[in-house]
Amino acid sequence: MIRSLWTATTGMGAQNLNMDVIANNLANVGTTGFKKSRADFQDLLYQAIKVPGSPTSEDTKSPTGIQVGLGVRTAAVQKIFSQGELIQTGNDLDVAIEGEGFFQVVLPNGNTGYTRAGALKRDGDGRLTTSDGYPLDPEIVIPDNARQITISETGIVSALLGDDTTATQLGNIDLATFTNNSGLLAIGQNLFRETDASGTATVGTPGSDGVGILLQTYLESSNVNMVEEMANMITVQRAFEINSKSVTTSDEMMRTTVNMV
Amino acid sequence: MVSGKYSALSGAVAREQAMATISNNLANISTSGFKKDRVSFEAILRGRQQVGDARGVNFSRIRRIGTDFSPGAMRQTGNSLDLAIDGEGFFMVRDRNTTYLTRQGHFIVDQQGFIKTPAGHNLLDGGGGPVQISDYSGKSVIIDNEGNISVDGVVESRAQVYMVDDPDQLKKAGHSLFTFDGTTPVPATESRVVQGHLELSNVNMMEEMVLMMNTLRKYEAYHKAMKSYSTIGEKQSELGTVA
Repeated sequence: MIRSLWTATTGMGAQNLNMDVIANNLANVGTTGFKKSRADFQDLLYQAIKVPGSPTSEDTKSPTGIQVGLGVRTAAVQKIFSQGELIQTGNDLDVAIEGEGFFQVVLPNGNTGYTRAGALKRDGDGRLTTSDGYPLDPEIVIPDNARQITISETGIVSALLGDDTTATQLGNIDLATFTNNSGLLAIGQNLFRETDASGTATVGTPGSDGVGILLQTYLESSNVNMVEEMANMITVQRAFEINSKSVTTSDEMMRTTVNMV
Repeated sequence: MVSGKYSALSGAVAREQAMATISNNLANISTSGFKKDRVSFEAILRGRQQVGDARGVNFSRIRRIGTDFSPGAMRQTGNSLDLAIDGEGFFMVRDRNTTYLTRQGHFIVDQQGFIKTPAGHNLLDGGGGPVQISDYSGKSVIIDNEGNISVDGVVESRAQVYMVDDPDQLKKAGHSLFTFDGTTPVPATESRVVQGHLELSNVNMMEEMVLMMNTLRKYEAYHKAMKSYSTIGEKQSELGTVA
């Protein structure tokens, strides 16, 4: 009974975590460049009461055993990097990535962060930055007198300067890709950091080397599918309820025992 | 004296173990590739022993806890390395020295291009070697029904489905893995690999709920029997007391 009580508790815990993940996905349903997460579970170890293959007589063996499982654990909470929908904004400095890849930004502590949120801004020095003011890497400076900024599919940033009629090239936006996107560490603010699991970043020009292309005046919305999350939420709620029912039942069995005398 | 009291107790203990198994099934209701366990009971004494020696009193115990390998439903995830098996069979995975079977088809690629489970077990190909693909960042990975893995249209490796003659020989090792001492997995021919899907656990909430109610009520009944024996005992001692 105590065993089933704790087993059911692990089930409740797992569903609780599942709900946390779903809540965070839903909370970020409107976050540009957000990638949803998914919790994956595994069964815990098994307690062998009778080991399979234990002898039943001198020359026979029990074909099966008695093993009781002890519940569930979380195997991974994984980010799903499927493409989000593209939304046209009309803003010159909104850039969406269609395909793989991340913008590289310089974090305040000097590290490189990776993001797919392409709502770029200009800071006081004319540098292209993220909404948090973290400059792109490599740095791209847009002079004060720039008009009609264009960002090509292959990442070339150009603008008309002053009264010019021909565009001047200001720089290149490169994209970084990883062997294992799921290994990236989400650090909030739409940013990811590379880890040993993700592998080191491969920097490429948009449109080549399997790197996605850039779309100016578009933003990539989050890839959270509300209907899917709703369905998951219902499943989680029911699974939680039935696990709590296991707890109640185990408790009732214990009460029966305690009240026997 | 053989007492029915112990018979009732053995019944209660067996139901308690059954409850643990039901709890475990329910706890793993969201574990992809999980296969539920089923408890069967048996009487301890047979034939003449029960009728003659034990005067009709018998004991109950768990005969076996078997795994029900019926398929679970499939859920579309859209993740290119989520694989489900349609039909019998398992993926074979290996850590440093042990080989396991699993139906949890949630895989990731490490930096060397090895396809692994989240716990770090390598997925094995048809020849029993680890599945490795070239750098796939930015490229499309297509896995066909046979398990052939192609990166950008070039077949590079194979996620082989294996099956065993007698799944009863498999032993659960936790982490959604099965060990297969005493039986040799062979490549499955009938099964299909389905990319972008995960197999859900085959636990049926309603079924487990009914089993749980059944278990609880039986457990209570055994207690009632034990209590009755206790009352009988009291009456007996009252009778034997000279007031």
